[in-house]
Amino acid sequence: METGRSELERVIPALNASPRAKNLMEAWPRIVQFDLEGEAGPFHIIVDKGQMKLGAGVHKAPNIVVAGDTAEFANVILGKKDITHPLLFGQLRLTQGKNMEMITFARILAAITRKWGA
Amino acid sequence: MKRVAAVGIGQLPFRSRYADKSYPVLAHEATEKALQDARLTLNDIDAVVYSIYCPLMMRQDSPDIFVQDYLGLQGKPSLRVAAGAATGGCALYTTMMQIASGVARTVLLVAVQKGSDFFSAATRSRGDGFNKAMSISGDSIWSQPVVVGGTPPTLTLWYVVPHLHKYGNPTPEQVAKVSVKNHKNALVNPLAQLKVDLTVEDVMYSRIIAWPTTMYECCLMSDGASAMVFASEERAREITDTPIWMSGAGISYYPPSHSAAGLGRMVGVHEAAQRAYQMAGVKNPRQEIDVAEVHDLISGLEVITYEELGLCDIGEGGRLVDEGVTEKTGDVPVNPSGGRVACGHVAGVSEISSACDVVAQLREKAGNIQVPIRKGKGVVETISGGANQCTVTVFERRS
Repeated sequence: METGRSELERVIPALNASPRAKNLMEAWPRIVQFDLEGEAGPFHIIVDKGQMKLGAGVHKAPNIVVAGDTAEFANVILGKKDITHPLLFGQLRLTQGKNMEMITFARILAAITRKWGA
Repeated sequence: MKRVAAVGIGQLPFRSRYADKSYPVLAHEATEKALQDARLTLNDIDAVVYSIYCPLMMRQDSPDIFVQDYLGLQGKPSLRVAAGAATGGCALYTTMMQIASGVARTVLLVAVQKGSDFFSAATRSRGDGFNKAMSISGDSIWSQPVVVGGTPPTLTLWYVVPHLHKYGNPTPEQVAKVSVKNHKNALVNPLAQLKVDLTVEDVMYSRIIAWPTTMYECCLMSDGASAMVFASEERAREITDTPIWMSGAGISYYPPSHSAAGLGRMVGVHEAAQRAYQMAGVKNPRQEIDVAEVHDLISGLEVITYEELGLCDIGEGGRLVDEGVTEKTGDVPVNPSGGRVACGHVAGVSEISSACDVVAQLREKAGNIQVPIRKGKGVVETISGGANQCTVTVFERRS
């Protein structure tokens, strides 16, 4: 089964190589902590200077904390659903940060996952 | 009233941005195409009507004056019409009245609008810059602190969700089907801005803008220009063998936000249609209309528009979608161009581009997007952002 973490690992090199994603990430320096059911443990991403890095464990100062179902998060990365769907229907929830931040995150993903980027 | 005919059409493709061309250049190119189509020159034009929605989005107040100068139309009478995304519909009405009244014999109608030169430094999105610029298009005194005018969330709130509650449709799947239809139509339209082959799932699971409206169910933001030449009957018969008559035009102003009873209905469209049909002698729109280009500012509105135009009973729009009646191969094709969600949208131009499309359809010269013409009548429906100002125009091919 795809997990959010395994899918993130897969797409991060493509995001870092995408000029569109890089442009969006330069304007969005954030640390996003993921605490998802179905994962082996917590993980986080650090977006800085137009690059995204994946890290294990709990970051001490995240801007956003995402909880919920890892399969739903994987669907978002796979481009099957926009992140607004699991956020609206409660399959993913933010315990810290605002939904608009995750819409920006989805815009970054869209640079490589959607037929037509948002 | 004198009869009025469309004798020339000129359209530029919708694009997310014409970064290399200013608005007078776009207007000039569209005008040139329309005049070539009519085999006329600027000397043959008696008067000009400009369909230009928003000076702010062009970063130029009174842009019509500068277009007039650029076109070399010094000395010709002209006026500009502005009524949100119904600008073009109102400009068609104004053009009709100029000729029908005998004030002018040959009128050039020029539509141009740029809107995507704006940019938000905070989000690096031109869309966000555009939205900031257009936010004062809504009611800046009462509405803006709460909700921004004719945006997809507002349209969903006023029309789609109340309609779903009252009549049980359109369901999210039905709305997505309409979006898929229009995107498929745009695939073969050389003027369309967005060419992407979508499935119902692609549409339904794209970003939620305001449930149930998703991103692919929202109109595009475009730059564009279109122009048309209209003439009196006597003049039209000198110009062309295939005049397309503007046989009916109706306008209605009906703000839905002022009455809970109006929620879920686009009463203004209904009233405008009744006026236009009466003028054109249309008794049974479902049987008499061959093609319609309508303002699908969000796909859910297209379904409600079917009802208000009389293509089905009120509350039956969802059924029309499921039966495929408005598909390109259906009884009454709607938006064979791809509509505003796929062909492109910028107020002032979309409406005139739609009129050009309907004229081309009735001439049976619409190329890849041609649909069968049986009775010889087509309709253009436009609404301002909140569907406050609504227009319906009937075009007709007859001897």
